[in-house]
Amino acid sequence: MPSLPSVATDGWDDQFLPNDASMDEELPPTTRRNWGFTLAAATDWSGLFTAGRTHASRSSEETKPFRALTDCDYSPRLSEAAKLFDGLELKNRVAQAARQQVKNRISFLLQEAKSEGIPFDRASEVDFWRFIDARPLLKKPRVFLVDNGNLRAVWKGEKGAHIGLQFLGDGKIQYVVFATRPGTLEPSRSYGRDTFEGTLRQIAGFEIEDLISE
Amino acid sequence: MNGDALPDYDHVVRYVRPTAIDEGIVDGSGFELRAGHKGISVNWLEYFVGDKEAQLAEVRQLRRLHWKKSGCLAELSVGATKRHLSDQLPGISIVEDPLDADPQGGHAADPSHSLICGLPNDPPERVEALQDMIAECVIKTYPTTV
Repeated sequence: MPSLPSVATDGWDDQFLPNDASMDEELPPTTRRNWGFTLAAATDWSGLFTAGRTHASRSSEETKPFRALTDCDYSPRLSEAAKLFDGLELKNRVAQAARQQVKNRISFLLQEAKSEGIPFDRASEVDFWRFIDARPLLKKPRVFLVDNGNLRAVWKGEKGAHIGLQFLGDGKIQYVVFATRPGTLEPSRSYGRDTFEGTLRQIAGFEIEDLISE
Repeated sequence: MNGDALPDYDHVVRYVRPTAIDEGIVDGSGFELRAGHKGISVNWLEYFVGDKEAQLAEVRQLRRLHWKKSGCLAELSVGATKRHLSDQLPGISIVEDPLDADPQGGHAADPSHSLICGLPNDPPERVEALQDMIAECVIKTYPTTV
Protein backbone atom coordinates (compact mmCIF):
# COMPACT_ATOMS: atom_id res chain seq x y z
CA MET A 1 0.00 0.00 0.00
CA PRO A 2 1.58 3.31 -1.00
CA SER A 3 2.24 5.70 1.81
CA LEU A 4 1.53 9.36 1.64
CA PRO A 5 4.55 11.49 0.91
CA SER A 6 5.82 13.39 3.90
CA VAL A 7 5.07 16.72 2.22
CA ALA A 8 1.40 15.96 2.48
CA THR A 9 1.59 15.62 6.21
CA ASP A 10 3.50 18.87 6.41
CA GLY A 11 0.89 20.70 4.50
CA TRP A 12 -2.00 19.16 6.45
CA ASP A 13 -0.50 19.87 9.82
CA ASP A 14 0.07 23.47 8.97
CA GLN A 15 -3.65 24.03 8.65
CA PHE A 16 -4.18 23.16 12.25
CA LEU A 17 -1.56 25.47 13.56
CA PRO A 18 -3.27 28.80 13.20
CA ASN A 19 -1.17 30.34 15.93
CA ASP A 20 2.09 29.19 14.46
CA ALA A 21 4.23 32.28 14.37
CA SER A 22 6.14 31.03 11.33
CA MET A 23 2.93 31.01 9.29
CA ASP A 24 2.24 34.61 10.01
CA GLU A 25 5.75 35.52 9.15
CA GLU A 26 5.61 33.76 5.82
CA LEU A 27 3.03 36.03 4.33
CA PRO A 28 2.48 39.67 4.97
CA PRO A 29 -1.03 40.39 6.22
CA THR A 30 -1.95 42.21 3.04
CA THR A 31 -1.09 39.17 0.93
CA ARG A 32 -3.07 36.93 3.18
CA ARG A 33 -6.09 39.10 2.82
CA ASN A 34 -5.80 39.21 -0.95
CA TRP A 35 -5.33 35.61 -1.79
CA GLY A 36 -8.55 35.54 -3.72
CA PHE A 37 -8.69 31.78 -3.31
CA THR A 38 -11.75 29.98 -4.47
CA LEU A 39 -13.10 27.01 -2.64
CA ALA A 40 -12.27 24.83 -5.63
CA ALA A 41 -8.67 25.97 -5.64
CA ALA A 42 -8.36 25.53 -1.92
CA THR A 43 -9.65 21.99 -2.02
CA ASP A 44 -7.49 20.97 -4.94
CA TRP A 45 -5.27 18.61 -3.05
CA SER A 46 -3.15 17.60 -6.00
CA GLY A 47 -0.23 19.42 -4.48
CA LEU A 48 -0.40 17.19 -1.44
CA PHE A 49 0.53 14.22 -3.53
CA THR A 50 3.31 15.84 -5.54
CA ALA A 51 6.21 13.52 -4.89
CA GLY A 52 9.83 14.59 -5.07
CA ARG A 53 9.25 18.25 -4.36
CA THR A 54 10.49 19.89 -1.26
CA HIS A 55 8.43 22.01 1.03
CA ALA A 56 10.40 25.06 0.01
CA SER A 57 9.78 24.53 -3.69
CA ARG A 58 6.03 24.36 -3.30
CA SER A 59 3.90 27.46 -3.35
CA SER A 60 2.11 28.51 -0.22
CA GLU A 61 -1.16 27.62 -1.99
CA GLU A 62 0.00 24.06 -2.25
CA THR A 63 1.31 23.74 1.26
CA LYS A 64 -1.60 25.43 3.02
CA PRO A 65 -4.69 24.75 0.96
CA PHE A 66 -7.09 25.49 3.82
CA ARG A 67 -5.49 28.78 4.68
CA ALA A 68 -7.51 30.31 1.92
CA LEU A 69 -10.70 29.20 3.58
CA THR A 70 -9.77 30.30 7.05
CA ASP A 71 -8.03 33.52 6.14
CA CYS A 72 -10.36 34.72 3.47
CA ASP A 73 -12.51 37.63 4.56
CA TYR A 74 -16.02 36.38 3.96
CA SER A 75 -17.82 39.21 5.70
CA PRO A 76 -18.73 41.16 2.52
CA ARG A 77 -20.16 38.07 0.87
CA LEU A 78 -21.91 36.93 4.01
CA SER A 79 -23.39 40.34 4.46
CA GLU A 80 -24.47 40.34 0.82
CA ALA A 81 -26.06 36.92 1.25
CA ALA A 82 -27.76 38.06 4.44
CA LYS A 83 -29.10 41.09 2.63
CA LEU A 84 -30.44 38.90 -0.17
CA PHE A 85 -32.01 36.56 2.33
CA ASP A 86 -33.50 39.45 4.28
CA GLY A 87 -34.81 40.95 1.05
CA LEU A 88 -36.44 37.69 0.06
CA GLU A 89 -37.83 37.21 3.54
CA LEU A 90 -39.25 40.73 3.46
CA LYS A 91 -40.79 40.17 0.03
CA ASN A 92 -42.29 36.94 1.31
CA ARG A 93 -43.82 38.69 4.29
CA VAL A 94 -45.15 41.49 2.11
CA ALA A 95 -46.69 38.91 -0.22
CA GLN A 96 -48.28 37.09 2.70
CA ALA A 97 -49.70 40.34 4.02
CA ALA A 98 -50.99 41.13 0.51
CA ARG A 99 -52.69 37.75 0.34
CA GLN A 100 -54.41 38.37 3.67
CA GLN A 101 -55.56 41.82 2.56
CA VAL A 102 -56.94 40.34 -0.65
CA LYS A 103 -58.77 37.71 1.40
CA ASN A 104 -60.31 40.43 3.55
CA ARG A 105 -61.30 42.41 0.47
CA ILE A 106 -63.03 39.38 -1.04
CA SER A 107 -64.94 38.80 2.20
CA PHE A 108 -66.07 42.43 1.99
CA LEU A 109 -67.11 42.01 -1.66
CA LEU A 110 -69.07 38.87 -0.82
CA GLN A 111 -70.84 40.71 1.98
CA GLU A 112 -71.63 43.60 -0.38
CA ALA A 113 -72.92 41.22 -3.01
CA LYS A 114 -75.28 39.65 -0.48
CA SER A 115 -76.56 42.97 0.82
CA GLU A 116 -76.98 44.52 -2.66
CA GLY A 117 -78.35 41.44 -4.37
CA ILE A 118 -75.38 41.38 -6.80
CA PRO A 119 -74.30 37.94 -8.02
CA PHE A 120 -71.00 36.54 -6.74
CA ASP A 121 -69.55 33.89 -9.00
CA ARG A 122 -67.75 31.16 -7.03
CA ALA A 123 -66.13 29.75 -10.17
CA SER A 124 -64.58 33.17 -10.77
CA GLU A 125 -63.28 33.20 -7.20
CA VAL A 126 -61.73 29.73 -7.66
CA ASP A 127 -59.92 30.94 -10.80
CA PHE A 128 -58.86 34.11 -9.00
CA TRP A 129 -57.19 32.15 -6.20
CA ARG A 130 -55.65 29.72 -8.67
CA PHE A 131 -53.96 32.67 -10.33
CA ILE A 132 -52.96 34.33 -7.06
CA ASP A 133 -51.68 31.14 -5.40
CA ALA A 134 -49.37 30.48 -8.33
CA ARG A 135 -47.50 33.65 -7.37
CA PRO A 136 -45.64 33.32 -4.08
CA LEU A 137 -44.24 36.84 -4.35
CA LEU A 138 -47.51 38.46 -5.25
CA LYS A 139 -47.94 42.21 -5.32
CA LYS A 140 -51.29 43.23 -3.91
CA PRO A 141 -53.91 43.88 -6.56
CA ARG A 142 -57.00 46.03 -6.18
CA VAL A 143 -59.94 43.67 -6.31
CA PHE A 144 -63.40 44.53 -7.60
CA LEU A 145 -66.68 42.76 -8.12
CA VAL A 146 -68.12 43.25 -11.59
CA ASP A 147 -71.91 43.43 -12.01
CA ASN A 148 -71.94 39.98 -13.63
CA GLY A 149 -70.54 38.49 -10.38
CA ASN A 150 -66.96 38.02 -11.56
CA LEU A 151 -63.92 39.13 -9.61
CA ARG A 152 -61.53 41.55 -11.25
CA ALA A 153 -57.95 42.16 -10.14
CA VAL A 154 -56.17 45.36 -11.15
CA TRP A 155 -52.52 46.33 -10.83
CA LYS A 156 -51.32 49.81 -11.68
CA GLY A 157 -47.80 51.03 -12.30
CA GLU A 158 -45.92 54.05 -13.52
CA LYS A 159 -46.63 55.92 -16.76
CA GLY A 160 -50.18 54.60 -16.97
CA ALA A 161 -49.20 50.92 -16.83
CA HIS A 162 -52.32 48.97 -16.00
CA ILE A 163 -53.28 45.32 -15.86
CA GLY A 164 -56.93 44.39 -15.35
CA LEU A 165 -57.89 40.71 -15.16
CA GLN A 166 -61.49 39.60 -14.94
CA PHE A 167 -61.74 35.94 -13.99
CA LEU A 168 -64.44 34.40 -16.12
CA GLY A 169 -64.59 31.14 -14.18
CA ASP A 170 -63.81 28.65 -16.92
CA GLY A 171 -60.05 28.92 -16.81
CA LYS A 172 -60.27 32.03 -18.96
CA ILE A 173 -59.38 35.62 -18.23
CA GLN A 174 -60.72 38.77 -19.80
CA TYR A 175 -57.71 41.04 -19.78
CA VAL A 176 -57.04 44.73 -20.28
CA VAL A 177 -53.40 45.78 -20.48
CA PHE A 178 -52.16 49.35 -20.89
CA ALA A 179 -48.47 50.16 -20.97
CA THR A 180 -46.08 52.61 -22.54
CA ARG A 181 -43.48 50.74 -24.52
CA PRO A 182 -39.89 51.97 -24.38
CA GLY A 183 -39.28 54.78 -26.83
CA THR A 184 -42.95 55.73 -27.15
CA LEU A 185 -45.01 58.39 -25.43
CA GLU A 186 -48.51 57.07 -25.92
CA PRO A 187 -49.53 53.92 -24.06
CA SER A 188 -50.37 50.84 -26.06
CA ARG A 189 -53.64 49.17 -25.17
CA SER A 190 -54.50 45.54 -25.49
CA TYR A 191 -57.59 43.62 -24.46
CA GLY A 192 -59.08 40.22 -25.07
CA ARG A 193 -59.92 36.84 -23.61
CA ASP A 194 -57.41 34.07 -23.15
CA THR A 195 -56.24 31.24 -20.94
CA PHE A 196 -54.04 32.01 -17.94
CA GLU A 197 -50.94 31.20 -19.97
CA GLY A 198 -52.07 33.24 -22.95
CA THR A 199 -52.87 36.22 -20.73
CA LEU A 200 -49.47 36.00 -19.07
CA ARG A 201 -47.85 35.98 -22.51
CA GLN A 202 -49.74 39.18 -23.34
CA ILE A 203 -48.51 40.81 -20.14
CA ALA A 204 -44.96 39.61 -20.79
CA GLY A 205 -45.16 41.20 -24.25
CA PHE A 206 -45.56 44.56 -22.54
CA GLU A 207 -42.70 43.77 -20.12
CA ILE A 208 -44.80 44.65 -17.08
CA GLU A 209 -44.92 41.25 -15.33
CA ASP A 210 -43.28 42.90 -12.34
CA LEU A 211 -46.53 44.74 -11.63
CA ILE A 212 -48.08 41.43 -10.58
CA SER A 213 -45.28 39.78 -8.66
CA GLU A 214 -41.63 40.13 -7.72
CA MET B 1 -81.65 71.31 -22.71
CA ASN B 2 -82.06 67.56 -23.16
CA GLY B 3 -79.36 66.14 -25.41
CA ASP B 4 -77.15 69.23 -25.38
CA ALA B 5 -73.47 68.61 -24.92
CA LEU B 6 -71.99 69.78 -21.63
CA PRO B 7 -69.25 72.41 -21.89
CA ASP B 8 -65.78 70.88 -22.06
CA TYR B 9 -64.55 72.89 -19.10
CA ASP B 10 -67.31 71.61 -16.80
CA HIS B 11 -67.34 68.56 -14.55
CA VAL B 12 -69.57 65.62 -13.75
CA VAL B 13 -69.74 63.19 -10.83
CA ARG B 14 -70.88 59.59 -10.73
CA TYR B 15 -71.82 57.44 -7.80
CA VAL B 16 -69.42 54.48 -7.61
CA ARG B 17 -70.56 51.53 -5.54
CA PRO B 18 -68.23 50.01 -2.91
CA THR B 19 -67.50 46.96 -5.05
CA ALA B 20 -65.90 49.21 -7.69
CA ILE B 21 -63.63 51.25 -5.45
CA ASP B 22 -60.66 49.88 -3.54
CA GLU B 23 -58.37 52.07 -1.45
CA GLY B 24 -59.51 55.18 -3.28
CA ILE B 25 -58.92 53.70 -6.74
CA VAL B 26 -62.01 53.62 -8.94
CA ASP B 27 -62.28 50.67 -11.29
CA GLY B 28 -63.64 50.81 -14.80
CA SER B 29 -66.48 48.54 -13.63
CA GLY B 30 -67.82 51.61 -11.85
CA PHE B 31 -68.64 53.01 -15.29
CA GLU B 32 -70.61 50.08 -16.58
CA LEU B 33 -73.33 50.80 -19.10
CA ARG B 34 -76.43 49.06 -17.78
CA ALA B 35 -78.58 47.05 -20.17
CA GLY B 36 -81.34 49.18 -21.67
CA HIS B 37 -79.67 52.47 -20.70
CA LYS B 38 -78.69 55.06 -23.30
CA GLY B 39 -75.58 56.10 -21.45
CA ILE B 40 -73.75 56.14 -18.15
CA SER B 41 -75.55 58.29 -15.58
CA VAL B 42 -73.66 61.26 -14.15
CA ASN B 43 -74.52 64.57 -12.52
CA TRP B 44 -73.38 67.88 -14.00
CA LEU B 45 -71.78 69.86 -11.20
CA GLU B 46 -71.74 73.30 -12.83
CA TYR B 47 -75.49 73.16 -13.31
CA PHE B 48 -75.56 74.30 -9.69
CA VAL B 49 -74.15 77.54 -8.45
CA GLY B 50 -71.65 77.87 -5.64
CA ASP B 51 -68.43 76.16 -4.81
CA LYS B 52 -67.69 72.46 -5.23
CA GLU B 53 -69.10 71.54 -1.82
CA ALA B 54 -72.35 73.38 -2.52
CA GLN B 55 -72.64 71.67 -5.91
CA LEU B 56 -71.99 68.27 -4.36
CA ALA B 57 -74.57 68.96 -1.65
CA GLU B 58 -77.19 69.58 -4.38
CA VAL B 59 -76.26 66.35 -6.15
CA ARG B 60 -76.45 64.38 -2.90
CA GLN B 61 -79.88 65.79 -2.19
CA LEU B 62 -81.24 64.76 -5.59
CA ARG B 63 -80.01 61.17 -5.56
CA ARG B 64 -82.54 58.55 -6.55
CA LEU B 65 -80.60 55.49 -5.52
CA HIS B 66 -79.41 54.35 -2.13
CA TRP B 67 -75.82 55.49 -1.87
CA LYS B 68 -73.60 53.47 0.43
CA LYS B 69 -71.18 55.21 2.75
CA SER B 70 -68.33 53.03 1.51
CA GLY B 71 -69.07 54.08 -2.07
CA CYS B 72 -67.94 57.41 -3.48
CA LEU B 73 -68.64 60.17 -5.97
CA ALA B 74 -66.04 60.18 -8.73
CA GLU B 75 -65.40 63.46 -10.53
CA LEU B 76 -64.53 63.68 -14.21
CA SER B 77 -63.66 66.64 -16.39
CA VAL B 78 -65.96 66.66 -19.41
CA GLY B 79 -63.36 67.83 -21.93
CA ALA B 80 -60.47 65.74 -20.60
CA THR B 81 -62.58 62.57 -20.58
CA LYS B 82 -63.74 63.11 -24.14
CA ARG B 83 -60.21 63.86 -25.32
CA HIS B 84 -58.79 60.80 -23.53
CA LEU B 85 -61.26 58.50 -25.26
CA SER B 86 -61.60 60.22 -28.61
CA ASP B 87 -59.06 57.99 -30.41
CA GLN B 88 -60.76 54.80 -29.31
CA LEU B 89 -64.29 56.18 -29.28
CA PRO B 90 -64.74 59.09 -31.67
CA GLY B 91 -68.48 59.19 -30.97
CA ILE B 92 -68.22 59.82 -27.24
CA SER B 93 -70.34 62.63 -25.88
CA ILE B 94 -71.49 63.86 -22.49
CA VAL B 95 -74.95 65.32 -22.75
CA GLU B 96 -77.73 66.74 -20.61
CA ASP B 97 -80.48 64.29 -19.67
CA PRO B 98 -82.61 66.04 -17.05
CA LEU B 99 -84.96 63.83 -15.06
CA ASP B 100 -88.53 64.84 -14.38
CA ALA B 101 -89.92 64.74 -10.90
CA ASP B 102 -91.23 61.35 -9.81
CA PRO B 103 -93.90 62.04 -7.17
CA GLN B 104 -94.71 58.33 -6.79
CA GLY B 105 -91.11 57.49 -5.98
CA GLY B 106 -90.78 60.64 -3.90
CA HIS B 107 -88.09 62.11 -6.16
CA ALA B 108 -87.73 65.75 -7.11
CA ALA B 109 -86.73 66.69 -10.65
CA ASP B 110 -83.02 66.35 -11.33
CA PRO B 111 -81.98 68.91 -13.94
CA SER B 112 -78.28 68.05 -13.48
CA HIS B 113 -78.65 64.46 -14.63
CA SER B 114 -76.51 63.79 -17.69
CA LEU B 115 -75.24 60.84 -19.71
CA ILE B 116 -71.91 59.68 -21.08
CA CYS B 117 -72.99 58.37 -24.47
CA GLY B 118 -71.35 56.49 -27.29
CA LEU B 119 -70.08 53.43 -25.45
CA PRO B 120 -70.60 50.20 -27.35
CA ASN B 121 -72.26 47.14 -25.80
CA ASP B 122 -69.92 44.65 -27.45
CA PRO B 123 -67.46 43.04 -27.42
CA PRO B 124 -67.22 42.92 -23.61
CA GLU B 125 -63.43 43.05 -23.51
CA ARG B 126 -63.40 46.27 -25.55
CA VAL B 127 -66.14 47.73 -23.37
CA GLU B 128 -64.07 46.87 -20.29
CA ALA B 129 -61.00 48.59 -21.75
CA LEU B 130 -63.04 51.71 -22.52
CA GLN B 131 -64.48 51.71 -19.00
CA ASP B 132 -60.93 51.50 -17.64
CA MET B 133 -60.00 54.48 -19.78
CA ILE B 134 -62.90 56.46 -18.32
CA ALA B 135 -61.75 55.45 -14.82
CA GLU B 136 -58.29 56.81 -15.69
CA CYS B 137 -59.93 60.24 -16.04
CA VAL B 138 -61.21 60.36 -12.45
CA ILE B 139 -59.83 63.58 -10.99
CA LYS B 140 -61.00 63.17 -7.43
CA THR B 141 -63.39 61.18 -5.28
CA TYR B 142 -65.77 62.55 -2.69
CA PRO B 143 -67.73 60.87 0.09
CA THR B 144 -71.34 60.01 -0.60
CA THR B 145 -72.44 61.64 2.65
CA VAL B 146 -71.06 64.42 4.80
